[in-house]
Amino acid sequence: MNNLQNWNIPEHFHQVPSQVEGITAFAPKPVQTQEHSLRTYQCPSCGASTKFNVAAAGIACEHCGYTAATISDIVGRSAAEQEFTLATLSIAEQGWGVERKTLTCENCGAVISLPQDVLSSSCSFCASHKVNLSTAPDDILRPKFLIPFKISPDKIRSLAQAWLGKGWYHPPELASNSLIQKFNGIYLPYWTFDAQIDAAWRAQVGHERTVRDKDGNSRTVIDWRWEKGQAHLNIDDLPLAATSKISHHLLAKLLPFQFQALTAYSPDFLAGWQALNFNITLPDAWEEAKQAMRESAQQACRSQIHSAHVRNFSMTADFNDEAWRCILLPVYLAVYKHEGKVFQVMVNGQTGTVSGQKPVAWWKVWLAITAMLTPGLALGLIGFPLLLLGGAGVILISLGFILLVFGGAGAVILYNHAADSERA
Amino acid sequence: MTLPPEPIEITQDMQNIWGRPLAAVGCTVCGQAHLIAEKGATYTCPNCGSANMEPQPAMLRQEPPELYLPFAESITNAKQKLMAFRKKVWFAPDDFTAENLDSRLTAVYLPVWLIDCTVEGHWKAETGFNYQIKSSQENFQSGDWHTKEIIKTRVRWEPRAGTIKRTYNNVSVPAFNGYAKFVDELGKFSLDLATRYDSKILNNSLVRIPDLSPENAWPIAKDNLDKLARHDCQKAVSADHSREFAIQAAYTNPNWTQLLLPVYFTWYTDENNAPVPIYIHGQTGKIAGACLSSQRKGWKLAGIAALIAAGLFLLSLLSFAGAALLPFLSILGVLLAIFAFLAGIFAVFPAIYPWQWNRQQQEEIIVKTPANETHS
Repeated sequence: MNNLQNWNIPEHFHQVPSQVEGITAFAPKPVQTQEHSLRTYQCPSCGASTKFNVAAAGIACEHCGYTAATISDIVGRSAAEQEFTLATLSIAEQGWGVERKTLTCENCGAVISLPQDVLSSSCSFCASHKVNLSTAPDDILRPKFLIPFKISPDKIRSLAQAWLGKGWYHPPELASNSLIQKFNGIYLPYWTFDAQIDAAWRAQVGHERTVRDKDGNSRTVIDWRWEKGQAHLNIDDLPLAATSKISHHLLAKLLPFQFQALTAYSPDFLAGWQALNFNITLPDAWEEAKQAMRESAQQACRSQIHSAHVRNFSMTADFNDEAWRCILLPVYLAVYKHEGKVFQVMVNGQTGTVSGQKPVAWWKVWLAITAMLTPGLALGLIGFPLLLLGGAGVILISLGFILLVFGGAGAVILYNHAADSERA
Repeated sequence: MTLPPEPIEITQDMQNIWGRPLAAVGCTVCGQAHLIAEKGATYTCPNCGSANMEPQPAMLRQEPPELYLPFAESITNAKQKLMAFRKKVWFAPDDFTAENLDSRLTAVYLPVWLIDCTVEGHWKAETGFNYQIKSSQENFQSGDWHTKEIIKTRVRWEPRAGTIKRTYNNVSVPAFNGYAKFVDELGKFSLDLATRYDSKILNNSLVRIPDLSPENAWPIAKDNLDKLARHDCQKAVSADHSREFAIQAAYTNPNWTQLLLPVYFTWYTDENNAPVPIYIHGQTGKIAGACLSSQRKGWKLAGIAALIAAGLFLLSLLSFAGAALLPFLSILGVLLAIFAFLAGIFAVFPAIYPWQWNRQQQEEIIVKTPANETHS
């Protein structure tokens, strides 16, 4: 009896149901959650709105100069990852839906209606910055880590302008004019995926062999042999954008991000900045990631085959230790107009890498393509009548053909580059 | 920890205990001690067949056992099973016959303690909960990828703690050393068939004298109670696994009863005349014990095969020699050489088999007698 009386419930434990009579059970309490509450950022000195300042690495007031450093753990690549449990996948398949959430501004009492995928906002009535604190740990799909902005907004314009000025086939006014009025810093949601892949392949590989016939003529024959091999891939933090609202083509050019700077989520980082939540579900993103991983595995297997002749290639890829994270990555977004068309520019908020759309002065491109093709065509035109007159035309036609092939290849590359510049 | 509240009374006077006169005898060969019904009668040891059974003092409870399990397996059935048991081995020793085993069968009751006790205290443990994850195996065939989903089960470990107040009844606790090995080899006994003790059961049976008093058996009893508590605590929190289980409890109201388990003992002697005990579960008829092979018989057969091989080889050489005069003898020589080779190969098997077989069987010996300890 004394044993029962002297016993104290362990700290941070609470009673849970017991399935056996005569036994009581206690488990650790779940961490307290905050559902859809708002945090309003106001300066404690002057009462003005405050926001996260990149240079100060904390909350700062633009009016009175008040600053408070944001304290958050830099966890890097060791940031906790989640497994693909059946329970998580079941929740993830539902996504966020199209519902909106209604939140009341603590500052002026206005009711703010936000889409489900928006994490931070400013009150339309009092302009105070709000961060949605939906950081419930049991809400497994919420972002729990982010990479803070490292590039200050004042440096973005010069980076973008330098990028716009590069390239000879763009309109010259891109470099000289201040086309871009404003950059918006926004945290974009990303899924990152890990997996260990054990791949095994089997194929018929052809090995060339030179043989001579009885007349002394040599020819190449191919000996086909079944061969097999194995490869192991450790894929760590493969990032995939979790929003369909921004061009994935342009976002891919912003990579890589330095995941060593991954930091535990704090609402301070989002104060005064925009942030989106995902609208591409985890299962959909995972299917896309698996496709990329499978191709990597196939490349690793095919790289073991030292022959250009391969047939009946087959392989298996066993996935193990699959894991994922939902994180926020910093990106500056802007749009500009040129000749009535809208173009996007984005800057990696951590590394300063710029990507985007640039208009093309197509007359320059076509002029260059014409210049590339002309030598080959001209030699061919000169060589053809000479061929009719005598054998000298053969050399000119051959030379013209070679120049046409090189010119054609160069023209295709140039055209693709130019078209890609305008592609969204 | 609470020991049994009252010490068990021990007596050395066996004239009028357990409802009839009894005598304690011990085997001077294998050391096992048994209770027999009448003092002065001659018995052979049921474990090793030795006739050297000498009276000895025994520490016994004054009270008779409360319960016993009746023999359910008849002797007739036992004989059939012994024949099947004997057929498991080649080159069995001469003494190892089903008839010998059957004629030496002795019904023996093995004692076991049953304890009722209340466990009251607090516990903590790491409890494991199964959860499932989805993985996949990707197969690339004919230019297309095919996905095979794989569901894997993993364990999530979480701490749990709590209190316990439970009463456990009829928890088995050994009353003699080697009980665990008996249960491992023979299987569990069905305690549901337990019957109130009747002194008549000793008319044709012996009783193994307990080695462990309740006081000595208490640490084992406590372990068994803790195992039951651990099982119940895991069940209470709906966990699939548990580890690092710790309990601090008082063990109150212990009540010890004695139960007799039915086992047939028999034995045979191996080629060195060392007794090898065999046991039959009195309820299920399952047989346990070493089923040894005779190395001498193996050597004998191997020797005969080797001699035949040598003879055939000699004849083959003579045939090759005679082929100089009669060429067809060379064919005979080849045939004889092949047969000689086959006979030589065959000679290896009986030489190796008993050695290899007996190595495995030594692990089957439940209670080692001094004789089979020396040569095993």
